[in-house]
Amino acid sequence: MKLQVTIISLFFAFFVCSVQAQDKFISHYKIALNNGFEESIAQKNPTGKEIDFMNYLYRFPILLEDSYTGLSAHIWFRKSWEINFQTLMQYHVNFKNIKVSAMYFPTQNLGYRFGFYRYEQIFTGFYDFPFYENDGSFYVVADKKTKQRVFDKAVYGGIVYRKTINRFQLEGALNGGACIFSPFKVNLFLKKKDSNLLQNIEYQTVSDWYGYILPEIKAGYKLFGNAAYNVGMN
Amino acid sequence: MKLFIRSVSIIFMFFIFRAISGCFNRDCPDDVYPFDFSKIKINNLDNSGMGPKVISNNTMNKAAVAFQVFISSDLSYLGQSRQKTQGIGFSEVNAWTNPPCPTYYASNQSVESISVVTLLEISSLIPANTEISDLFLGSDETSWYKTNLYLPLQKLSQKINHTYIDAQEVQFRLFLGREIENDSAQFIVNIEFSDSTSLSDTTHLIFIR
Repeated sequence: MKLQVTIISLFFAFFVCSVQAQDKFISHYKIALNNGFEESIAQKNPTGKEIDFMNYLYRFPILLEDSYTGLSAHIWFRKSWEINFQTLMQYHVNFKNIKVSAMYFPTQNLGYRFGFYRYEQIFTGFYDFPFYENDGSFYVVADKKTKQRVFDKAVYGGIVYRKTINRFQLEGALNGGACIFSPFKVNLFLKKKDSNLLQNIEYQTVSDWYGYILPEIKAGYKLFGNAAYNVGMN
Repeated sequence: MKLFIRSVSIIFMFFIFRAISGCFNRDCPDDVYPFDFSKIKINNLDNSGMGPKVISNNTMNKAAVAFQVFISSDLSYLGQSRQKTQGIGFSEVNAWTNPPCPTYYASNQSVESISVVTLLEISSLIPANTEISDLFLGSDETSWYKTNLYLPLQKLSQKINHTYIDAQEVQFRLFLGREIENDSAQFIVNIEFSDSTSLSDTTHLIFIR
């Protein structure tokens, strides 16, 4: 598989942010409920003799009922350290898609980030690929609706720039890292016409680390709050 | 008026609670009914297409000889009526979408082996009255294509020993893994059970095309 995928992810979040005394170990924290959508755009590679599964990456339709919901938590520690935890759920409550990062801000606006994530990717429709040279003597026995779910697992680091102007908070980040997907098997059954002969072709993918760059931008707005809590949206 | 609204609200909440709890309370009996395998029946299969189909005629392709075998009990149990959800209150609530309770059956015997003998010559190397169990492969109801290849008969006999749901019978399929060089074929299928009993049946005379 080649890395030729663009993933556009937008989400809206309502958050509740606590404000604590600055001398405590946990300075303050934020809990947010997200709702958004994701669009994966994979550049199709020319069809060769071997299957390229990236040509069969499932594209999430941009519909509200297919959007995802997520929970995230952000904790600010006393000494310029922060931890962020995010999970995305599409249909069921689960923690399959998670992203955890730690940040260190030596200055007020500029910081560093490192972390890991695990996101589910879905391949579908790959049984349409001509896996074998069929001279018409075999039936292909496979469920063409089958979806193959794999997980992208990555470690990453980057720089973060954050600026607060009155009620607005802007945050931009440039992340880079290394990613690997979980290998998987595809089984294809061939049934010969006028015969009991049944063959099984098993494809085993090979996974390898690859590099990636992922820019992020986030804007927040504080709706209301008091000395202890703020409520807003991202 | 306030007292009336509160009373109605409490009754309404009670009904809602009963309705919700009715969705989860399935009080099905989990009794397992014993039986003995006492009958055997063999159907012809047409396996020339994508999957095997039961046929009533006796013609098969020379490379697609296949059979469906039923072994079952003579006993007939009445279906177990589903117990209604019991509870306090003035109504009983059961989810409309709950399927009927399953009835579980377990055979007193387990299948020890499945063997096949050909009554007619298959080729010059395989004469009549030869045991050809190794030439047959099988599948149970759940393990045909899409998930698995055929099974050797020894593995098939292990796989069909389980608790059966809503039926005192088990079916499996037999596929001959060799072309027949004769213009007709006929087989005896023999099933040995753990209590030293056995069931045996002869297939129809099959015409090979």
